[in-house]
Amino acid sequence: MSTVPDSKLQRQPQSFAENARRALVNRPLQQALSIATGKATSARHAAVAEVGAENWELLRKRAHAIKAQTINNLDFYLDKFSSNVERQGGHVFWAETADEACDYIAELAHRHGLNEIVKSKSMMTEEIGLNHALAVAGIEAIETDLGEYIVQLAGERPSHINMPAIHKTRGDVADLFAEKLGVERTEEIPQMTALARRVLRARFAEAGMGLTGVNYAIADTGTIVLVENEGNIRLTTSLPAVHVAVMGIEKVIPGLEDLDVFLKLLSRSASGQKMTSYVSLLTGVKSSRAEEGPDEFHVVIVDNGRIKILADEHLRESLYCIRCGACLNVCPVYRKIGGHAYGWVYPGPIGAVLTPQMIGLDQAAALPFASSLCGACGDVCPVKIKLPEMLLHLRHKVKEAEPPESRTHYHSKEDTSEALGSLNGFRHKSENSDGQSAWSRSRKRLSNVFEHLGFRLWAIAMTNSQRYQAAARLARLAQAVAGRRKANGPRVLPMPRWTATRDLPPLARRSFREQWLESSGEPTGDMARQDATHLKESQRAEQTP
Amino acid sequence: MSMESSSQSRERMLSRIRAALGHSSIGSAPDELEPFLTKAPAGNGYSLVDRFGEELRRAGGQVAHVKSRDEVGRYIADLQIDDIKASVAVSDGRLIRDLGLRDLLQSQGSEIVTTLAEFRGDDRDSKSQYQRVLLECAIGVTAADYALADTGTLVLVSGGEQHRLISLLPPVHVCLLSPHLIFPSLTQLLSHAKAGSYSGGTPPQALTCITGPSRTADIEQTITLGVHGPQSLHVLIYSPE
Repeated sequence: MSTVPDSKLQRQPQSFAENARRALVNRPLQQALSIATGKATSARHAAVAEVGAENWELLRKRAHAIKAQTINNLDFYLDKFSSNVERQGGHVFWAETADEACDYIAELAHRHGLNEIVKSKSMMTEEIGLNHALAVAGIEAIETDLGEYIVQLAGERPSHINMPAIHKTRGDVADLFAEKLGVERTEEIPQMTALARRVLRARFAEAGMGLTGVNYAIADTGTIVLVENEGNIRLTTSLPAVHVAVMGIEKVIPGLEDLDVFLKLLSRSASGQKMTSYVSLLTGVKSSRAEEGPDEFHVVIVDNGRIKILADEHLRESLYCIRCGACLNVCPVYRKIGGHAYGWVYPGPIGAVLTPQMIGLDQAAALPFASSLCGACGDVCPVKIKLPEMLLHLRHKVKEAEPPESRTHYHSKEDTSEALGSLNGFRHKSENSDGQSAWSRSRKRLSNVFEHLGFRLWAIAMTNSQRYQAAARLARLAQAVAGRRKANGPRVLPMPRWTATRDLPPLARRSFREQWLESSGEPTGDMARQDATHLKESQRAEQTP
Repeated sequence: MSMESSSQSRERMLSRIRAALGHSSIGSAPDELEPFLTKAPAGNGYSLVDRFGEELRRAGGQVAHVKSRDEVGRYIADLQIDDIKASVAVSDGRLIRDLGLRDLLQSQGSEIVTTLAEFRGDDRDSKSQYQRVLLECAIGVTAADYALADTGTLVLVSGGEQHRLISLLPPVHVCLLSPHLIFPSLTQLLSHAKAGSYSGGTPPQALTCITGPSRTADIEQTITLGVHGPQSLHVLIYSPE
């Protein structure tokens, strides 16, 4: 593997729409995503059910409170953490940029005369493009997490926060191993896993430096906590003489007594486990040279744009993220397009929030629109990050940043109509940047006017039941007269721009209300009133504790 | 890399953080959060030992109750059924020393791997020699410092015992556990430990929590055991009669 990985250079959130379109027609990808996100979601669901909804909510609230406490006093806790690391013989390096972090690690490897290091999975090292930087400096970084190893062999990037090779089927991995490792092809997962163990054991045996991320940094004690299932992090932190841990400034929590809450939430949210196979708490360097473990311990604390996020009160909470990946697994957008379509390191809803902040809104303007705003991400987030609100906030910022003339299709200042209208926004935005004729631009502007008009009429019809029923009758009439026959199907109204990205089911010949009226004889108006009364009562009941 | 000192770069980063948060000066200790009182895990009539065993089995580990030194010996001999000469690495954990387990296994005909202490592991050569030997070893035997009932977790602590490699490199890990070392959960253990052994604020250099064998689900979310660490974990709960 002498080629220089180009992961640092791949920043393609601008081509999100194109990436997504390609992903949707990629059948193996669709199959792999469906298997993996399905299994992860149901495992998480079962684990949360076992804790009980009430207890789960208590844990989430506590985790949120601890994160709020730490992030709002980050200067204090980081100071304390770093002092404690140094007190116990560790070295702390403060890196404001990705380059500073990479340079420090490369120089450290050179100082020890090393041209290869072993590393465990770390989104932070993906973010700072460490493998690329080390390769440029003549140092090979060997990924040892099985998923990361697969992705590295394939010359790709991880497509999920904690399931890096989620986009690959066993057949893909079998082909890859046969080609790159020169072994006989097998699709047996235990055999492929055993092969990776053998190959990587040999690298561990020779390694002089091990590099890891950090799950939690304990301010009180200067301890770093590492959570895993495979054991490669333990190997990385036990065998080589030098251990380097890279962490974002947001990873610190106050004390050891805060850890249990996060372990409970993280493992259940990520994989549905009560506890991962291994959790390592590492503090400083060993007291005597006769003991096991590294001789040197370095912590690299990285800003790389996080302080800017800290300053934005609307988005500060995105630093609470513990990288469990649950929001990816439930996201209807992620589940269809996978991680690579997002174009940078962090995919899914949390990626759509972090990426524009970290690499610039103009570089990732499409991402906040890559959501149906269904709210599932916010519901599963173990630290209660308000992801849907943040996505809306970022959409607002994207629109604010656009020149006024391209904003013409939003006349209404009302939040709701803006939210509805902007569901469509990413298409307009990304197509604009492709460069297109004046004709298609004006056609689009016209259809934007229609769309806006459509939503206005919709609002008028929906706010009154008589008007709604009248409108529905009218629409059915229009469908019967002007509808087009779908292939072998019923007639539907022709709305090509609308249906290009959505389904438009045909209107039923008789509405539910009409069928109900016929079968029960009850007047629908009363039913509607009863519904409204019932709803109000249940809302009151929810508000009273 | 600049020649700037570490304290300068730390001060610069912290002052930028203060500015972002709107803090005017160096933050004093923030008010601590109210203690979080989780209900102790429901007993359901279980003892801590039963709960521990049940959770460990769920995590893919195996549990056996042993009453004597000989039973420990027999259990390990049964693991060697295919290869009676399979090499065994034995840690310097207290229970293991108390039982004289090393001598016992040797008398059973097992090849015992030299421990790090015997290598006089104060130089790099002897350390890497130790690592190489362990990489080839079939069974690692350790003793747990603590265990957690609610998750079926073993807790091994550096300092008293060289546990890190013996519990990780061989494909089979056997761990001895005294039942009185089982705590309800991590929170209880940490508060016990904070009040006791490392009240000075310095935890052991390495505290390792082990819950079941090494596992991965990186290929099609299919769980596969023994990817980097042991493929099987046997916990022998030792209660002498």
